[in-house]
Formats: sequence, structure tokens, C-alpha cells
Amino acid sequence: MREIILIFITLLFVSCSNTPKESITIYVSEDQVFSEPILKDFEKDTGIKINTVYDSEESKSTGVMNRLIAEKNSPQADVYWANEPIRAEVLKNRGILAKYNSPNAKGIAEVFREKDNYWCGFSARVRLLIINKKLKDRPKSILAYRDSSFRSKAVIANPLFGSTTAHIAALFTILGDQKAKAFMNDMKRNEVAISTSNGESADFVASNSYSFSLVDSDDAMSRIKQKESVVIEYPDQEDNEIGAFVIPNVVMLIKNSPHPKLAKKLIDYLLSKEIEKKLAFADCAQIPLHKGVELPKGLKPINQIKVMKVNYEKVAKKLVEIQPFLKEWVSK
Amino acid sequence: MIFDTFIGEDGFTISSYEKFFQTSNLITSFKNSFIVSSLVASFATFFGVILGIILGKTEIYFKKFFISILVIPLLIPPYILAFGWFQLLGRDGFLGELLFGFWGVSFVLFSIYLPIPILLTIFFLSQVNPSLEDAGRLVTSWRGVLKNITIPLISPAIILSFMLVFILSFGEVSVANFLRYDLISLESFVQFSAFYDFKMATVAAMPLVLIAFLILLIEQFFIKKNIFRFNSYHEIKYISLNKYQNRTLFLVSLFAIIIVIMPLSTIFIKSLDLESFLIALNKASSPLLRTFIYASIGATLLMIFGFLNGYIIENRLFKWWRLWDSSIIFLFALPSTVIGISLILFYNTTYTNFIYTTPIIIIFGYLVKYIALTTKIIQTKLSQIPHSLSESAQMVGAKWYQILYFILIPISKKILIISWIIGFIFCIRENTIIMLLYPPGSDTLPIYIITQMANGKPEIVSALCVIMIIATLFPIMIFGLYNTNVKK
Repeated sequence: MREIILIFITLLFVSCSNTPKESITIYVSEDQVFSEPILKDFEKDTGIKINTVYDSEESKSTGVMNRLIAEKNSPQADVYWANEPIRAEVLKNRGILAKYNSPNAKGIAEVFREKDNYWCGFSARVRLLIINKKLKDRPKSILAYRDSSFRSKAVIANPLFGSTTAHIAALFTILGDQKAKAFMNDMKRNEVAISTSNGESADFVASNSYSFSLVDSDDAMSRIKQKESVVIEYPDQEDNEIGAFVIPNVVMLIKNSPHPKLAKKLIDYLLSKEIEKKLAFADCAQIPLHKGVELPKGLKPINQIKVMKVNYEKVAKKLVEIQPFLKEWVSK
Repeated sequence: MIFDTFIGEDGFTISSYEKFFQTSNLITSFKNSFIVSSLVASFATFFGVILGIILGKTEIYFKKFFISILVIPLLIPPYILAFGWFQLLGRDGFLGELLFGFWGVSFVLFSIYLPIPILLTIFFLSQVNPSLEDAGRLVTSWRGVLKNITIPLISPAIILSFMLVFILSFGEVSVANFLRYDLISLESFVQFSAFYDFKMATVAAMPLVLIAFLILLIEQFFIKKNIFRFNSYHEIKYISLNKYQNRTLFLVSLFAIIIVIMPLSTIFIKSLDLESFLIALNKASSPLLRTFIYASIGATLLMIFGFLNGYIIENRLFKWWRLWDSSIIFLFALPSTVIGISLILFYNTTYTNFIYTTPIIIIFGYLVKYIALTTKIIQTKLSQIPHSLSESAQMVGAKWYQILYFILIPISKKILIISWIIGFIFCIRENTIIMLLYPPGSDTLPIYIITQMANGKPEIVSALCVIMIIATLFPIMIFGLYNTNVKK
């Protein structure tokens, strides 16, 4: 009996990690397959140990955002790497972030930075259309979702979660509430299917269960690299059209973080041109926001894409306002 | 968090509940949940008991193999089974449309929770006094013995199975979310995931708790009336199948193929890529080791505290035993997210950092969520032990801990092992609470699988699932071997 108790206590303490002298904790919402190599490179380059908490897709599990909010009074994380700015705005509004103006933020357009330096964007995804090659008449605008010639041929990720919510909220700020609601209702009338995530939408299109979907560029690019039978289209690129919604990765300093100096070092590292190049050449093929960063073939630089002109702060506010509408829309 | 749901800007208020009950489709989602859970619990209990009798009481060939196969859906994240069916059936056509709705959700949940009544039936069958069955065999066939003696004797286990499956399926989120069917459990989940609104999420969790209390009342009335007390037995009377062997084998095989092999075949086929499997094994080694350690510690504590709780409740040791019983059912019914956030809010302080920043918080999460499971399993067994044994010991001056140590624990040895295995399975598969609580660098394999699902290579994700299934079956196989040696 005594031996069992000893083994039990040993097991418990063996599994408790010993924190070395220099270490830092980061919570990451960017997909682990893309973010983990970057963070391991930081460890190698600087010798600072990184303790990481990764996130799941929002539709599968609640994760990092709720943890950050719950830990507000005693933060465990030093840095948060979010995969879109709306989460950053939610945290800023709840007083969870601290200001930091990284020297590596110079050169990134102001639209991708918070005006008071609470967060800074880097390595962006673009919301684009992934289209199955079998579809002859390919859509060029997100308005194709309400085009009757594409009735029951389209799928969209659940607009209650993730980047789709942000995109819909952005549309509301651009088109106005009335037109945006009409668009959503037309989409429903056109029998759009709802998937649980952008990744799933991309898989549906790749398997020709549906002909096209609005997804993030990293979901689309990874299916192209997996040699699926799909093509991509940057939507709404004509002069009189609204442009494509761009979602940068965002890095931010947590207020009262345990290791603020090291946190700033990590933020500088993530905002560097070298990291943007790595993420551009990775399977996620994310678009650098710094000018002059080398790009792989087939990836359009940000200045060649007509970007939807949005204010992320307004998008974050609109996102909260439209939640009851979206909840009802999903359940119809 | 519950107290907070009654507090507004001006003090006490029920405005959060008023706002929640004004949700337009609340009644529909509650009705859906009730019907799905009732159907799943009824069918899982019915088929689970039949399969439990076949696998635990007959001389069917390959019974350990069938038990291992049928248990697999309980070992993997529920979402994966739903995804497997989608890969097989698609979304179009009659079967595809059936999958994405009431019947699909019910069927997938049935597959996931079927192992619970199977395992409980097999165990409680082994506790039936064989001489009672021998006496019955003098006047009737095995069918009559099963109907009039064996099944009534194991009826507490059957009712317990129904209860557990009902509560678990009522609170399940990922399957309904994937198959796009509106259930009340999604209300709480959406409040957390989409709105980050802890108050409304807790309010949305309250209907689940009410249902759990209803189930508890049923347990109090029905199980208590059907308790037969007897000692433990190691000898089991097996039913010889003779000319029905091949037919039974065929039916059980067909069941296993439809319920388990078909949906998981797409996942298994993808994992056959050796290179991906080796990469997955390399990546999985640390999370797998952590999973085993945490789940073993969790299962051990669940067994110990489950036994103590079961003893307290069964013997009504304290005045407030009913409150104690209700509390653990309440925790079991609460969504895992509410439990996770509550543990963060309570333990994330300077004084309790030694708990919150270490895997101890994960163990706490397991205990809070699953203590009801092991308590009820062990309590059901304790309720069948004759009081005369304890009373005799008391008469000669034995203290309560001596009665526990020298009488009740030895008699309950097998149920303690069963409760350890069930605790281990649930700890291993738990991901929602762990996702919220795991200290950096302490992720478990289910967490790793979920984070890899976002744009990870499908072959590697499939291989990780296979590794998890094999790893989880390991203690069950060890128990099977131990059981065989004991009988020899």
C-alpha cells in the first residue's frame, strides 16, 4: 500500500513541469501545425523556453479565449497569438491587453494595427472562394451565394464561430444592416449548407460534395498543396466591388504578464520579416504585411489584392450586435 | 458562476434567466434533447444488456475481441465517429440526409454510449449467485432463468446504465454540432465559444442540471425498490449456445461491423500509411505518456473517492447525504466548459498557483466531472451486499474503517477494478475540461488530436486516433487477462 502511494506521488510530481530560469508562456489560436515550427525556431534562436497552450477550432471546443478571460485577474500567459483581430478587440475591451509598440511593427499598414498599440497584425489570410474544378461557371463574388444558378451548391462555415463571423460582421459594416441581412436571408433561401469549420468547407468542396465555399486562404492553399481538385478565386476584385476581407494574425501583450520583457522579445520576433517569409512559404501560405518580403510562386502580395476597407474595431462591435441575428439564422 | 447568474447591476435579479427563456427555439431544442436522450438511453440499454448477456453469460467465441471492438466508440472523441459516418455516407442522398438530423445524431450517440450498459451488464452478471440459476434450471429453460432470476437481479445495473447514458447524451455537444441538429446542450456551448459570456453559458446549462435531478429521483425510487442483496461470486454459469453459436456469432459480428468498423474504416485506412504512422507515433509519445499518467492517477482517485462516496450515500452516514448525492449528480450533468471555467476562477490565485499551474488541476477536473460515475457504479454494488455482514462485524466491536477494509473492500474488489477501468476510459477521452485547464506543455493526446485537426495532415490525424484507441484498450486487455487467470 505504501509503495502504491509513493509511486502515485512520484508520478504526479514527475508530470509537473519544472520551469527553467528563462521561459515564457504563449497562448496560440493560429493552427498548431503552422505556429509550432515558428515557436520552436524562437526557442532555438534565443534559448528562451516557450510554454505553449494551443487552441482548437472554435466549433469543436471552447479554448484559449475563454481561458484568457477567466484568467484576467491572475494572467498565466505573457503573449497571445490570435489568428484574427476581432479576438484582440474583445480582449482589449475587457481590459486584458497591455500596450506595446514593437519596433518591428514599422512598415505594417495602419489598418492592420491597433491605433493605441494594443495589438499588431502580421502574416494575413484572405477570405477567398475555393471552387471545385468541375464547376464550369466559376463565381467571382461572394454574392454568388445568393445566385440561383448556384442553388444548393454552396457551403459556408458556421457563422457563429471563427473567421466567418468576422467576415459577416465586416459585411454588415460595409453594406449596412438592411442589405447585409437581406444577403444572409437570400443565402438561406438559396439553400446554402452550413459546415462546422472552414477546413470542413474546404474538404466538402475538394470532394465535390459542394461546388464552392468561402474559406480562409490557408485552408484553400493546404488543399491545393494536397493536390485536391480545386482552384481559388479572390472575390470582389473589380473597381466597383467591395474587395476581399483580409484577416491578419495578431500578436498582443497580456496585461500584468509574468514575463513582460521576454514577452516583448517574442512579439518583436513574430512581427519580423523573417517570420512573415516563413509563414508565406509554409503550407498555410499567409501573405506578409511588410513590403519586400519574398513570396512563393502563386501567392499574391497584399498590394495586388483589392482589400475590403474595414475598421476592425467597428467590426468587433458589430460582431456582438449581430450575434442574435446569426443565432437565429443558423437555427432556421 | 451559478451565484453570478442571479446578480445584475442592481443586485439580485433573474433577468439572465428571463433573457434565456426568451430564446426563440429554446423549447424546440429542449424537446429535441429530451427525445434524443430518451431514445439513445432506451436503445443503448436494451441492446447493451442483450450484448452484455451474450458476451458475459454465453460461450460465444471471441468474446474478448468483440468487447474490445464494441468499446472503441467510447474511447475516441465523439466528433470522430460522426465524421467517420459523414465520410462514408456523405451529405447527399437518403442516408446522407438521415445522418444530418435526428436519426443521425441518435444513432451516433447510441454507438458511443452502448459500451456502458455492455460493461455494467457483464460485471453484474458475474455477481449473480449461480445456485439460484441452478435452482431455476430445474424447472425452466435458460430463457426462463434469465427472465425471472438473472435479469431481475441485475436490474439496478440496467437502471444505472439508462441513467448514465441519458445524462451523457443529454450533455453531448460535438456530435450535434457536427451533424447540425439543434440540442439544448449547444446553447451553453455557443455562449462560451461565440459570445464568451460566462453568465449566459451557466444559465444555459441549468436545464441540463434539472434533467439530471429528475434522473436522480427516478434512481431513488426505482433502484431502491429492486435491490436484492447477495454475496459476490467468482463462478459464472455460462449458457451453451450449441446450434445457435454460428447464428449468434454472425449477429454480433454484423452489429460490430455496422456500429464500429464501418464508420472507423475510413480513419483506419488513412492511418495505414506507415510513414505517417511513424511520424504520428513520434509526435504522440509525450502527450500519450502524459495521458496515461493523468488518467491513471485520475482513475485511481475516482475509484477511491467513488468508493467512499458510495459508502456514505448507501449507508446514509450523515444527515446531509441526500445533498451530497445530488451535488455529485449536479457536477456530472454540468457541461464540462462550466466546470473548467469554474476551476480556473477558483484556483487561479497566488495561493493556489501550485495547483493551477501544475497537472494537479487536470486531476481536479477529472474528479469534479466524473466522481458521480464511479460513485454510482460502486454504490450499486454496495447496495447488494447484505447488511448482516457489516452488522456482525459491528457486534464484535469493529470500527467503520475496519468494516471497510476487511469486509467491504475485499467483496467489492472486482467492482473497484471495473470502476477504475471506466474512470480511466472517461479520463482518457476527456478533452473539453483539459482544453481549458492544461498547463502549457502538459497537453494530453486527445487535446493534441483536436489541435492537429485544424489543417493537420489527415493521415497523421487518423494515425493519432488509432494510437489513442490502442493505448486505451490496453488496460481493458490487461483486466481481461487478469480475469482469466483468476478464474483458472
